[in-house]
Amino acid sequence: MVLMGSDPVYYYEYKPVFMKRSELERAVRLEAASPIKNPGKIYIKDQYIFINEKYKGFHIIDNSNPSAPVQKAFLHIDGCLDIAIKGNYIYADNAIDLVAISANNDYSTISVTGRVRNSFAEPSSPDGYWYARQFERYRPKDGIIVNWEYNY
Amino acid sequence: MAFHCSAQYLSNLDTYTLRTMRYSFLILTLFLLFNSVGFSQDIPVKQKNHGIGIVPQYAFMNGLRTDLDFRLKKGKPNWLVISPEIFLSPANPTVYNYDSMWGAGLELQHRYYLNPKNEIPKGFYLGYGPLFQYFSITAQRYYTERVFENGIEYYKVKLAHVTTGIYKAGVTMTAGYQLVTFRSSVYFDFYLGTGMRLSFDDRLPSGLTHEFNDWWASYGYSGTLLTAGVRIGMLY
Repeated sequence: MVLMGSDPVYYYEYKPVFMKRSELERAVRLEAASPIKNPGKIYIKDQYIFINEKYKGFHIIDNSNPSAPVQKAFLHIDGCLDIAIKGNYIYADNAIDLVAISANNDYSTISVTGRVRNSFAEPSSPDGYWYARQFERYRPKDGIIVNWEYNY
Repeated sequence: MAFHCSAQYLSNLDTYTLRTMRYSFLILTLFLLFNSVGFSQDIPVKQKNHGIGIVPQYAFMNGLRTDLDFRLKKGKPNWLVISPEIFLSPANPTVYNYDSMWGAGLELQHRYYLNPKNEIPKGFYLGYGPLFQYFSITAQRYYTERVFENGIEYYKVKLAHVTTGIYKAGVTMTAGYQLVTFRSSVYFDFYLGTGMRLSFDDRLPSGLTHEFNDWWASYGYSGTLLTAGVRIGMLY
């Protein structure tokens, strides 16, 4: 009878969030400004400040008047932790892909102009407790890990 | 010397012990006499056309299986065995780690006794038939849930008390030997066989089926299997 035992239930602080590839590629878009909840890296380009919302994208802040910065928009890129900007092109990690996004001068419109698929490894659990075999059974078909949510 | 020792030993036994031994011997003698009459071929026995029994090993699966045997045509060795099953268990942290489980099943078997002249269903036989089982298992588990945020589709892993329905279908072929005793009214059926099972659940892609697919007797087993066991019941 001991052979019949099922896996014990372990409690993890972070749980993976998956997206299907088609949805991952479709979901890069500009959204209305939103509150900063889980900030990461900060990038500065001209009068704009880009603040990372971990695994979700970048807040675009117009800092033309440093005494009164204005949140202009949110650049939604799932699985994103970092960007680099050259000219009017934003280069970002979109989970496991590297995407190139062209933007106009005031970042009011964007479009994805290039994508290098499978450039990066999937983001790993922030606390390192999960390993591949554990969450494989929960992965949907064509699913890619784009986030780790904290909800113990 | 040996006799002397035995006589001395007997003389040392108290009256109660001797009386107990005497009754035990009498009961054993009556049992064997009664049993031998049951096996006797000289005494004509009334044809048995029905049977009812249980399969004790189902208790290991928290189940109860009752076998109802019917002779399909009088005087013929073809029988139909209808086996309704129920399964019920509260939390079982030592084996499957679930909160609760219940289930039901039905197994049918066409059985052919190799000696067609027997008035009672005994001796070697061959059997085959289908089965269907359903289990509802509630357990605290991780599972994948599809959610939409601002129109974007995500799949999130969540921990919750999940109820999963497991459906299992299959076929079984068995060969066995049915021993009939106690005036041809009690049977002990020993069988061995093989079969196939196919299980699926209603909570894909991350149901509990994979956890309950450890071996042949698991609630959600899929694959080929060997089966063996014993049935005990009565004929009438």
